[in-house]
Amino acid sequence: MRPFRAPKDWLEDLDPGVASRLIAAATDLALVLDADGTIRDVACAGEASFADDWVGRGWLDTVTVESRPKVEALLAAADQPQPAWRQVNHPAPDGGADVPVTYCALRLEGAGRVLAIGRDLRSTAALQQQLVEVQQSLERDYWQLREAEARYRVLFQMAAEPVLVVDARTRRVQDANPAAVRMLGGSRGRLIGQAFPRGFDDEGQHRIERLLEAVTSIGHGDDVEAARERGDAVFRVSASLLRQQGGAVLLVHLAPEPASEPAGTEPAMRLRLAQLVESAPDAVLIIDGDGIILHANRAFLDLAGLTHPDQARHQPLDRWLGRQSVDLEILLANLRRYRSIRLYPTTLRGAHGGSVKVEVSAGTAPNGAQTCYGIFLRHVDTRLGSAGPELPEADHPRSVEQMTELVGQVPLKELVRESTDLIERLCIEAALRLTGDNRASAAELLGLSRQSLYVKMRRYGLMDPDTSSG
Amino acid sequence: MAPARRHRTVTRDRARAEIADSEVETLAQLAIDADGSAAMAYVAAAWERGVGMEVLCLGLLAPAARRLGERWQEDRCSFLQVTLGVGRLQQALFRLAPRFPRPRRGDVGGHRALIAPAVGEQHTFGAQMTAELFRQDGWLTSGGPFRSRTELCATLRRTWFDVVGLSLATQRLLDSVAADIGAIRGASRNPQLVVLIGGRLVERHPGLVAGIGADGTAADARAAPQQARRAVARRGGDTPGRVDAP
Repeated sequence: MRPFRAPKDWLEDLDPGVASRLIAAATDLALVLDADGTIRDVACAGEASFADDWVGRGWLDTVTVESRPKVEALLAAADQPQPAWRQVNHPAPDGGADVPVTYCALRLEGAGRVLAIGRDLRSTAALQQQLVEVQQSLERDYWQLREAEARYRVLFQMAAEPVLVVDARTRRVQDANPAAVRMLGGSRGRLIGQAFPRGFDDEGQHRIERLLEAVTSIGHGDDVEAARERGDAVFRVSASLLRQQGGAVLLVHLAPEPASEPAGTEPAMRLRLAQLVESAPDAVLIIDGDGIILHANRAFLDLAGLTHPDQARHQPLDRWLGRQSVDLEILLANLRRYRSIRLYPTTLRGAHGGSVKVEVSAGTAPNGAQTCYGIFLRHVDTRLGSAGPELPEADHPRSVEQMTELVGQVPLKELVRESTDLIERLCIEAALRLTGDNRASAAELLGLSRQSLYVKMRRYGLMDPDTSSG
Repeated sequence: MAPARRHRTVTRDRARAEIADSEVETLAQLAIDADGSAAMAYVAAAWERGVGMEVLCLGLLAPAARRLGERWQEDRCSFLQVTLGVGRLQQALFRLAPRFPRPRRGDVGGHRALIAPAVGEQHTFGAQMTAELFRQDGWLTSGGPFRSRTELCATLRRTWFDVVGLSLATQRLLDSVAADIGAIRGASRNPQLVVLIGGRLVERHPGLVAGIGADGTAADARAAPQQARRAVARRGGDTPGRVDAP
C-alpha cells in the first residue's frame, strides 16, 4: 500500500459534503460508527436493503455470530496506519444466504468515531456457492462409486465360477475370486502375481495365450476350451479387456465344463448313482410304506413286460409281485420290523402272462417323515411261461428243501399236489429200476395198468423217444 | 495396489508414525498453491512412509483443513482459496482410501452407518473422514452430502441403517438439524435408529447440541465408531450379526 505523499497539501480544505460523496463513490458501503461501535450513518453505492435498519444498532449486532470476532478486531485495529481488510457476513433479512462484505475500519479524529468502508462480495459469493455445490456433487458421485465398487466386490467374491483380473501388459494375476483359488488349486497368496495362463496342458496354454492376444489387440476374442495339466478339469475360457487409467486389465472367466467336474464331488456322484440304478441289470424299485411304486427302473419294466415307467408308477407292487398279496404284506412287515430283507424268494408276474422266479432284497430309505423302501429284484429263473399263472413245470423232482421254500409262495393245495407228484414219480423210477426198465413188470409192481404207467411216464418226462412204442 | 509382501513389513510400523506440526503447516500451504497435485503427492508420501490411516486423517488432513479455516478467519486467505484447498485435501483422502487395509468382514456384524454433514452444512470434510473411520471399524458406511431433508429421509426410508452420524459446524443450522432429526426418525426403517451429532459445533458448544434430539454427541471422531457400537448394543442390537462388547 502506498498512501499520498503529502495529503496535507491537497486535502486540508476538504469539505465534509465532498468527502461524503467521495467515500460513497469509492466504496459499496460506508459506515460511521461512534466510539462504542454503534452505527450512526450508512452510505451505500448500490442495492443494500440488508442495511436498512442498521442506524442506531451496534455493528456487532449486524453480523453473524461467527463474524463477531472479526468486527471486534476491525474496531481494535482502527488506529493503525494501515489497517487490514476483514471479511464479515451479514445475515440476509429474508433468511437467504448471508451477505459477505469486506471492511476496513479507520479512526476519525474527534470523539473517537470510526469510518468503516466495505466492498460488497455478493457476486463473488454466488460464484463461491457454485464452487461449493460442484464439490458436494463430486462427493456424492464418489460415494455412489464406492457403493458400486462394494457391490461388485461382493459379486466377485460370491461368483460360483472362477474369475481372474489379469494385467494386460504383464499378464500377471492381479486379483482372483475364491472360486478361482479353489478350482485352479493352491492358495490365494500364490495365485496373485502369478503369470497367466499357468497350469493348463500345452494345447490349453496356447489357446488361452492366443485368446488374450486377440482380446488385447482387437478388443474381442472367441471363447476357448482348455484342460488343466493335472486332474481332468476342463474350462471354457473367455476374456474381456477393460481399459483404465495407466493401463488395461483382462477380465478372465473360466466356466468349468460339465463332464469334467471332479469325480469326487457330491452332485457328480449322485448323478452317477442315479444313472447306474437306471441301467442296472437287476430290477430296482422304490415303494412307499403301503407298497405303492414310486419309481421303477428299466430292468423292472422289462421284467414285468411294461413299456413306460408311468405304467408302474402309483400301482401297488403286488400287482406284479408274488402269487397273492401275501408276499407283499410279508415283505412290508419284515421291512418295518427289521428294516431290511435279503434273498426273499418269490415270483414276478409279467404283463403278458408269464412269471419268473425272483429273489428280493430290500432296504429302508428315510424320506423325511415319509418312509420309502428300496426293492432290488433279481430274476433267478430265466424261463417265462406262456400259459396262465402257473408254476413252471418241474423237469426234475424237487428236493424237500425246495418244497419247504415254496411255503408261503404257494398255497397248501398246490404243495400237496406237487408232493404227490413227486412221490409218484419216485415210485415209478424205483419200479423201473427194480424191473430193469421192464415197463410191463413195473406197471404190475405199481398196481397200474400199462396204459396208466405210460401216461404217467410221459407226464414226468421219463419216456425215451425210441421206447415210447412199448 | 501395493504387492502383498510390501504391505506386511509396513503395517507393523504404521501405528507409531507421527505427524509434526510443521508438516501440517506445509500441507496447508500446498493445498492453496497454484499446483494442486503437490498436496496430493505430499499426503501420498506420508502414507508410503508408513503413517497409519487414523493418524493420517486426524493428525494430518484434519489439522491442515483447520489451519486453512483459521487463515480465512484471519483473512489471510480468501473463501475461494479455502474452499479449493479443503477440496484438494478431500480429494487426497478419496484417492488414498482404496489403499487402506480392508477391515475383516463381519467385524461389526454387518451394521450400517450413514455419516454425512448436516443438511446445509458446507463443511463436509469432517464427515468424510469420520465415514472412513467407521468403514475401518467394519461398518458398512454410506455418505452424503444431502441437498435437503427430503433427500436425507428418502435414503433412510430406502435402506436400513443402525446409526446416522451428522456433522455440524454452523450454529445457525441448529434448529434446522433438530427438525431433520425428528424427520429421519420418522422416515427410518429402523425404529431403534441411533443418531449421533459430531463436528466443530459439538467441540465448541456441547451444551447447545445436547438439546436437539440426538442420542449422543461425539466430539472425538476417533472414538465415534466405538461409541456408536455401544449405543447400538444398548438398543438391543437385533440387527443381523454380533453385538460387540464395548
